[in-house]
Amino acid sequence: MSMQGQAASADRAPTVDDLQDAVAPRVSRGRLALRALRHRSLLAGVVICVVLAALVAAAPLLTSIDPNLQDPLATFSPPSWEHPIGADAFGRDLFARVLYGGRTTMLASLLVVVLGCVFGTSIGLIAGYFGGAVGFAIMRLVDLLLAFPGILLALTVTAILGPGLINGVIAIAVILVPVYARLVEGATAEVRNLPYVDAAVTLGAGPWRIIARHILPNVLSGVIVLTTTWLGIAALWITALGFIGLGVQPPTPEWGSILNDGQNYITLAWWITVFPGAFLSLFVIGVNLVGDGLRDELDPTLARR
Amino acid sequence: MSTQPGSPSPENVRREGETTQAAAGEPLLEIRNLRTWFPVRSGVLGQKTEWLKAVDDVSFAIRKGETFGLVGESGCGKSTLGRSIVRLEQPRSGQVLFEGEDVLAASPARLKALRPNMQVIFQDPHGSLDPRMTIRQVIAEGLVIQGEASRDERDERVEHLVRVVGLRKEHLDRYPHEFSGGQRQRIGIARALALRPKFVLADEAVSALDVSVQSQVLNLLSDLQEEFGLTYLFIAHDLAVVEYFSDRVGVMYLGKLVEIASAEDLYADPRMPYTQALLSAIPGGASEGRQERIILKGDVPSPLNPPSGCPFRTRCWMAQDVCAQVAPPLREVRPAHWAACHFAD
Repeated sequence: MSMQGQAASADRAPTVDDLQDAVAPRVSRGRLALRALRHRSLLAGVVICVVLAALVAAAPLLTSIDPNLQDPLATFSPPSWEHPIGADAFGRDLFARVLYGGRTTMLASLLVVVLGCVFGTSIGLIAGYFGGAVGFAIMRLVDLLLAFPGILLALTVTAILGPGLINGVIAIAVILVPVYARLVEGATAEVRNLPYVDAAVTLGAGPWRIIARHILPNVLSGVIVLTTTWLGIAALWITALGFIGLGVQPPTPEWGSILNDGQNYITLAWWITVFPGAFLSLFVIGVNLVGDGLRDELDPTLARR
Repeated sequence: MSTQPGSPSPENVRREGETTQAAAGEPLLEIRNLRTWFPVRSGVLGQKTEWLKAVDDVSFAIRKGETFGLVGESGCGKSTLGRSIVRLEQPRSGQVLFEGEDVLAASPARLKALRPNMQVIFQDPHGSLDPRMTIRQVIAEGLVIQGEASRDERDERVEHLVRVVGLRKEHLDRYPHEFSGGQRQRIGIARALALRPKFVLADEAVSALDVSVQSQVLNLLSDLQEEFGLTYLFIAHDLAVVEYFSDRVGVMYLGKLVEIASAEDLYADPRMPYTQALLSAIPGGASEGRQERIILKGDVPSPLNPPSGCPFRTRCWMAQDVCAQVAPPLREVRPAHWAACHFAD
C-alpha cells in the first residue's frame, strides 16, 4: 500500500524546507489605509468626508462671525466679500451658519448610527447566537419595527418624546436598531455553525468569548458597510427633522433648519438653500462612496493576496 | 501503530478475551448506551413529532493509546457519535466516561476543565480556522481560554507546536488563507495539541485532502501519537485509510454500532453482512483475497423510521423472520470480535 511505503520512508513529518515553498509568498499586510488609496471611489469618499469634517471642525478659525448674530443691514445679502455665501432673512452670516450647522448635522448623524449600531448589533448577536425562543421573540419584534415606514416611526417617536435634537437622534436610532439586528442576526446564525466555532467550544470557550472573539469580528465587515450607508441616510433624516421643525430648535444652526429658513425666499435669495443643500449632498455622496469602497475592500472573499 | 499496524500484543489478546468489550485493562473512554436524537419539528406550531435517531444506544470503549477507527456510510451517525463524545452535541441519554468521569453529567465549570483532555481535529481545513485570527492566535487560543501559561510560555509553546507539525515560526503571524489545505490541517492539529490532550477525535481529518497530503498528515498523526501518547477516535469513510491507521475498528449503520474488531480481524473476517458489503466496496480489495463485490439493494432506511429488529435486515441477503422481530445485540462472536447479527457465528 502506498501509504505504508511512505510511512517507512518518511518517519518524520515532511521537513520545514519541503513546505517552505508551498506557502503563499508573504504580501505586505494590506493596511486598509493603503488599500484605500488604490480604490478610487473609496479615496474620493474619504477625501470628501475628511475635507468636510475639517471645515466644520475648524469653523472658529475660518470665520470670526457668530452664526446667530443678526445684522439688520445684511438681510438677504448676496454672496459678497463680507458674507462669502451671503446672509439670511435675519442678516445672519450663512458661511458661519453652514459651518456650525454642519457640526450639528454631522455629529448628530454619527451619533445616530453609533447608537443604532451598538444596540442593533448587540441584539442581533444575542438573537443569532442563542436562537431558541428568545431569539425568535426578538426577531419577530424586529420584523414588526422593520414593517413600519422608517420616517413615520421617527416622527412617532419625536411626537412622543417632543421635538429637539437629542430626541430626533433617538428617534432615528430607533429605526436603525432593527436594521442592524436583522443583518447581524443572519450573519451570526451562519458563522455560529462554522467549524471554527466548534473548535473554540472544544477548547473551553464560553458563549461570550465566542461571540466577542469569533462571531463579532466575522460579521463586522457587513456592519461597517451598513454604517457608512446609513450615515448618509441618517444625515438626510436629521436634516428632514430639522426642516420640519422637529429636530434642532432655532436659532441653533443645522443644515436642515437652514434649508427651512431659506425655503420661503428661494426665488429671492437662492443662496440660503443652495449652500447648505450642497454641503449636505456632498456629505451624503462622500459617505456613500466610502461605503461602496469598504464593501469591496472588506469582503474577505475579495481579500487581496 | 504505524510501526506495527494491527499486530496485537499478547497483552491485548488477553484483554480482548474478557467478557465485556470495554475490557479490563485501561479504557480511556467508555461510551455507555449513548443516544443522540434530534427532534424533527413539523406542523404549524412546531410540535415535536419525530426523533431522528442519529446515534441510538451505542456502547463501546476506547483504550489508552489505541486508535479506534469508526467507519460507515454518510449519514450513519459516525460524526454525531464523535461530536457527542466531546460534547459538541448534547446526547439525550447515556454516559461518556472519560477516565471514569461522566463527561455528559459535568457542570459547565467542570466541563471546561475536562475539555483540554479531549480535543478535535476537524474535517474542513477551510472552515475550521477563524479567518480573522493569525496562526499564533489560533494555536494559542486554548492556552488563553484555559488560563494556562504566561504570555512568554504561551509563545514558546506555540513556537514549539508549529515546528512539531512541520511548519515554521515565520508562519505564525500569517492568516489562514495564506496556507494550503494540508498546512491548515497541520495548524488545526497544532491547536488540538496545545492543551496536551489525552484523547483526540479526528473527524474525517484527512478526507478533504489530496491523497499525497493525506499520507503526510496521517504520518504526522502517527508520529504525534507516539510522541505524546495520544488516543485517537478516527472517523473516516475511506476504508483503506482506516485499515492502515487503526488498531481497532467499529462499523456503524443507521445510528448503531454493528461490529467491532481489531482492524486485522475485521478486514480479514467480517462477521456482519453489512461489514462484508462495505469492505467488498474497497477498490482492489478482491485482489487481496477478499470476496467479490456485494451490491446492496435499496437505500439506507430513514433514521426517522428505522426498521424493526435488525436495522440492516431490509437490505440483507441473509435476513430471516427473526431479524424483523429481535434486534440482534452486539455480542462477542469470536474472541475480541463483536458483531450485531443473529447469524454471525
